[in-house]
Amino acid sequence: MSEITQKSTSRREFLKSTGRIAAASALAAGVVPSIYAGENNTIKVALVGCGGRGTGAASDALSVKNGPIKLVALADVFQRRLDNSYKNLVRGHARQVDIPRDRQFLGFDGYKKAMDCLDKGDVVILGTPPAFRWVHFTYAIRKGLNVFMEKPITVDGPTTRKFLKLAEESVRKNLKVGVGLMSRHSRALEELAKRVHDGEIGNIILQRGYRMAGRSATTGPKPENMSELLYQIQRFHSFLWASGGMYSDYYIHIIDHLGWMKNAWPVKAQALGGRHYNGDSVDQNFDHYAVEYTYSDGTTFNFDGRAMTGCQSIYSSYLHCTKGMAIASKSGDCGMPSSLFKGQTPVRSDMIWQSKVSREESNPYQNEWNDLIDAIRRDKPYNEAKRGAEASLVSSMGRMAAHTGQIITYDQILNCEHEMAPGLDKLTMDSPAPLQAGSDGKYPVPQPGILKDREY
Amino acid sequence: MMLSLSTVSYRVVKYMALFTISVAAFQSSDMPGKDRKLPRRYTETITSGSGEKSSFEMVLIPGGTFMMGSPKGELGRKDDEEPQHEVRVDPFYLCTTETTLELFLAYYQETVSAEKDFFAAEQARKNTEQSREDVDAITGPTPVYGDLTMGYEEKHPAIGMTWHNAVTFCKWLSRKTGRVPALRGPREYRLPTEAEWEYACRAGSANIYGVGSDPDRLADFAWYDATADSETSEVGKKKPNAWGLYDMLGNVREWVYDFYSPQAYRQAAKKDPTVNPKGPKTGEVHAARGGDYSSSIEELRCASRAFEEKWWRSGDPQIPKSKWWLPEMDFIGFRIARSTNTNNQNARKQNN
Repeated sequence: MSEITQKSTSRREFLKSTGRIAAASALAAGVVPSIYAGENNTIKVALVGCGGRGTGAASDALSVKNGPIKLVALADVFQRRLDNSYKNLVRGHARQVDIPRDRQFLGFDGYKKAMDCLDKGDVVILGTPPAFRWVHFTYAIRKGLNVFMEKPITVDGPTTRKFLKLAEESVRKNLKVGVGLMSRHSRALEELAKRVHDGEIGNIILQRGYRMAGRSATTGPKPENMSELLYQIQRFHSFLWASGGMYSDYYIHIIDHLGWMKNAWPVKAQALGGRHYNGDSVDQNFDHYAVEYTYSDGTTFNFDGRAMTGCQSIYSSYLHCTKGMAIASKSGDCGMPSSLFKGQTPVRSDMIWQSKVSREESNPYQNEWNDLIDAIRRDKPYNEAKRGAEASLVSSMGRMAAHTGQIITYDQILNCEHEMAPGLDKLTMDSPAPLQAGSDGKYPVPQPGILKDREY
Repeated sequence: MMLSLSTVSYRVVKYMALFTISVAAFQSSDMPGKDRKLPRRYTETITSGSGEKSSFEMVLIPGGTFMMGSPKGELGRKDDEEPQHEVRVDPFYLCTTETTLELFLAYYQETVSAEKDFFAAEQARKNTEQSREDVDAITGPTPVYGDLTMGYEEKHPAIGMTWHNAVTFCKWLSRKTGRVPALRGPREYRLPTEAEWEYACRAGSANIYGVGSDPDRLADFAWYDATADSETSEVGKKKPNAWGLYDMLGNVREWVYDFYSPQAYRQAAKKDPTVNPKGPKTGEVHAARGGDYSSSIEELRCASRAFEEKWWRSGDPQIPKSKWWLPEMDFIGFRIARSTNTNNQNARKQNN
């Protein structure tokens, strides 16, 4: 066992106190109806974190067809991201973008100013690197805003503990919270989950997930004309504090939807991994990971990640069950079609079901927005924050197992003391970066077997 | 053939009279003598950066004249296929198969840019500007989000690339094979024009599918909804058409050079005949022809036109959308073409 400090909160207690399903607790709490956007029914949206994905989410928001919705504020710490995001959103949705210069906010406090442009019941999109999620979610809850947040939403034990409390609070306030784990809104995976949960192919005995493709999440040294802090934020995939690294950011979707199929989260993980071709890159990631997750019933889920160009690419997920098998994601994070087979080999002659999804519902990124806005307008219970935090934590559990070379349990990762970037709520442009390079100019990397209770 | 004959238009009659060709078809190829000096087919082999060889075969498509678009009454016909109009195409080479993943991976691994963040992108842009005419400096695609093979084996068609990416592949291939004249020349590898594609698909015939008008025969030639298992096949596994071209119909849709416009034929038909048309000068999206593994039989007609639709970008959650990739779209690929020397003059005369 590892030397991780144990705290008193056990996983079971967490489950008991937060409720098994967020939606259920929202119902149980006898919620008050939410208000959206004052007198009229226009939903106002603010975007915090204007990178490609945040801008994409804003575009999806503006593409929801069930009533008036407009974008009114932007915030980022890079002027160029603000400018590009604005330009691209105007290009795609000119009539729904109402963001004069004085509602485009630059800086680490920009999120507050952007959210201050909204009213209770409006929606803020949190598209910054995951490290900032709890900071921005805290403010959104205080303002009574509905939230869409990009995944992952936590990066380590301490941020997950904070987040689970925030999730409870957001449920109590009847806020609608969407998390960008879009597998959950894939109509193919929804039907697969139903069929698997109904026992159509028996009980799950093994799960396999893969994201093995070319080299990624690498970065060169810091350019001269940039602060260390902004550099690390911009290259967030390369730095564990900012994103949970390649492992969390790239692998969470498959980890999340296989947990969904199993209707449980793994209770522990052990793993292999290493840095074989890191070359000139100064990132903290391994370039290959092989993680064995174990569920409480003793069954396992193997996840393989590799970022090496020229090696076999596999990017898909599978279930093996007592009466057959399933392809969950055929290719990609949640690529359709999903299918069921009566044997353990996915051959056409053994196929017993294959998903068929209409073109209108084939885009899970749009579905997740249609579902969120529908819940807001009709005041239906809708809060994915707790589930998103758990998926993020399970991702961190596998990553930490690989990075330390130890078995890491759910309770250990949840109660781990190592907060990679404390004090992010007080950050300014002049703050030192949460990670400092050593005297050789290199950033600390995991040392399995040597560092056992922290990842670097 | 019966169906075609029943729909011969006045234009066809005029054409037949003009050339006094005594065949009951409304298209013809140039006499073989004209292209005598050109090899009928040749094999090109490239060696990837890691030393692996891959080959593809190019076949000479004889120049000729054909009726582009569909005749009134063809089952499944759409408005953008009309009017059927006469088009003359110079000889050119066309690859016998769709571009394979094997070849596309060689390109990707040689040209992929190491990083896609905005500093790297900025640097790449500067590099491109400095060396616009330098064929050695091809700015390749950004890293694909995930696995560009989407789980398919290397002899399956390359998939999920944007039109821009396919065109960049052609530039890379031209450099790789030394088929690059000092200035931008007509002998480079390129995408076929929409007219060239349809002409090659018809392969000298005047029937609906180029291999006959009987849908029941299509199973021997094409992977489509009735014959495919909801996925692409290895290239070249069905029978070729009369000109030795495999999988023109079905398997993956194939990017062509032209911008798509539903009005394109109305414009083209104003000339008589239209010579080497290249489609509208400007446009939003490009045409992609031939249908794919999931297509219905109507989409497999030689005349059927398709184009990049908005949902082809739905696997890409970012804005701006990738210039290079259509994530998860495993039904779109391309086939390469190359002009011959003999049509240099015509190529220059080409007008829209």
